[in-house]
Amino acid sequence: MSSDTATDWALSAQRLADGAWRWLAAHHAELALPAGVAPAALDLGRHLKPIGELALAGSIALREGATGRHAATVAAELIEFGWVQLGGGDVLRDIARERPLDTTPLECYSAFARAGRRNAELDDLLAHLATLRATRVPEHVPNRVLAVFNAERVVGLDASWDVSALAARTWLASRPEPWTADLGTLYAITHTVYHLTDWGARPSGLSAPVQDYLQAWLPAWLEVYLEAGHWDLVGELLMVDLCLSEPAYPGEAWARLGAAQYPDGMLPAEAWRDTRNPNTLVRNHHHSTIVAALAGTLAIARRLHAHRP
Amino acid sequence: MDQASQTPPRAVYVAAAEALAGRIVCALKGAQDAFRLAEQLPADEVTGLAAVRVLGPDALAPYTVGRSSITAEDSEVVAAAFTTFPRTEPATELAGDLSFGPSVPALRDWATAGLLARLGAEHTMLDELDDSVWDEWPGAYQSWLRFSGFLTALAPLATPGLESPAHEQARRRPLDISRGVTRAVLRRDHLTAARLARWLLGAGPGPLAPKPLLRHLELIGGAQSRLQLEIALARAALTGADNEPVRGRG
Repeated sequence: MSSDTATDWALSAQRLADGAWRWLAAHHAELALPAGVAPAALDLGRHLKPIGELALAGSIALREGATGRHAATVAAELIEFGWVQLGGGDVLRDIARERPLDTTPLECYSAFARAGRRNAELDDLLAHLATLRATRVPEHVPNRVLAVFNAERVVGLDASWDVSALAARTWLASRPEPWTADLGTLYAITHTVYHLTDWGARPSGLSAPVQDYLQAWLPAWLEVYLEAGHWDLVGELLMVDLCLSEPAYPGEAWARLGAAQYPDGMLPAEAWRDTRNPNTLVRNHHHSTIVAALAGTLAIARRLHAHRP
Repeated sequence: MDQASQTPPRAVYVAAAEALAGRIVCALKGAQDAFRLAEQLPADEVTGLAAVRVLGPDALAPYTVGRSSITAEDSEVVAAAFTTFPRTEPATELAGDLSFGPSVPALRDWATAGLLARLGAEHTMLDELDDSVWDEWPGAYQSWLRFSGFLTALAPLATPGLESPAHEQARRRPLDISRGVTRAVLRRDHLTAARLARWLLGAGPGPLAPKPLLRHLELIGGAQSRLQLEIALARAALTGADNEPVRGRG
């Protein structure tokens, strides 16, 4: 890679992240929990997941020592916002009390725990639940089981997961014919990578054959979904590259993703998704913009500290 | 009647090429007796020659990878196709990303001539074998996307028995071709996938297992004869050729 190319790539990533953090700062309040709904009555996917994802992006940005103009400030703001929404963790505690086998509260909590926010009652409850046989084999798809494993690792539970066995059950581990990958399986691959590496902190969480496999096929998958304008998945695939021991930093893909970003910093989920209706704007495009903030921030951090365990 | 109204429309040529491809597929599968190219063409002579021209080197597949023997009459048909439809360069806007130096039609004709020579079907059009057509082959590195685009257009060259700078690069870049195959299958562009697979298989062991890929394309790609012909030829490339290759300038 020439130095010019490296500079261009890094500028694309920095601009993407700066814009995304700016948009998240302006719009995250629209993802507040609905007023007057008891914790147990919340829709975990619709209500809780965005709060957890905002906190995840914030917690990774703080972990990586984000240096952008907005990142550090907004990251702290997003974590604080979510933590207040969750009543300092009490909402998660109440959901876990209501549905002890639901792993969502643990997964959501892990982002806050990474940023140092703890709830003692929730900690006690999660530690107890982790001792039950009932929670040791979650009835999830394999990459989601890895999400539970990584959440317990981040929260600090002394779990005795056989990570190799868990990883071996994922779609990625089979190194499937790359021409069979569809949208759903690619999202499964990206999340397998995130959880095994704890979002790029430990590339060695991926075996050498899996790293080789991803290096071989990411360029083809990126090209397909760049052409399709599936910006959310493109951002996730670029983040997968950043979780490898030796990222490829595909400059052209970063530039093309950056070109899809709106002037206000929003990254549309897909090129064809409605961006004109103000009532659905944040609901439709917050995830892709969180991905943009996360990927761009991780990219800059990776450039500054390339070598990782 | 003016000249324009006598000329069959492009659709007629495409249909004729599809029909000829179907007959060649049958020949390769051994469902027919000895294949006679001259006997496979429609009643309208010009349409038949157009089909031969469209398939290019692949029109010779029953002789190059199949077991049929070419006759003088068959090679006359190929020569007549060259005469009736002299080589033209695609308009720049159509060439698009393929404007990479050498002329794709010239390289395809080089291959046709080379295969005819190998079959012992000498003909004056063997002048086309002049290796200078390879002079403009790009020496500089091309991205996997661009490179696999070249090779898609040059798929008929991936016939056992031919050798050229394209073959040499294809052997060195199986991963890049495999990325092209992957992209093509995911875009449901099965014809491109099969065309690229022909290079992959000629290139020896690589990152993609060829047999499941070809079976997959065969079963999900649709019944078009031109796709099935590409798949049949890819399978033929898998077995390779024992004969001394016709060499292009390297």
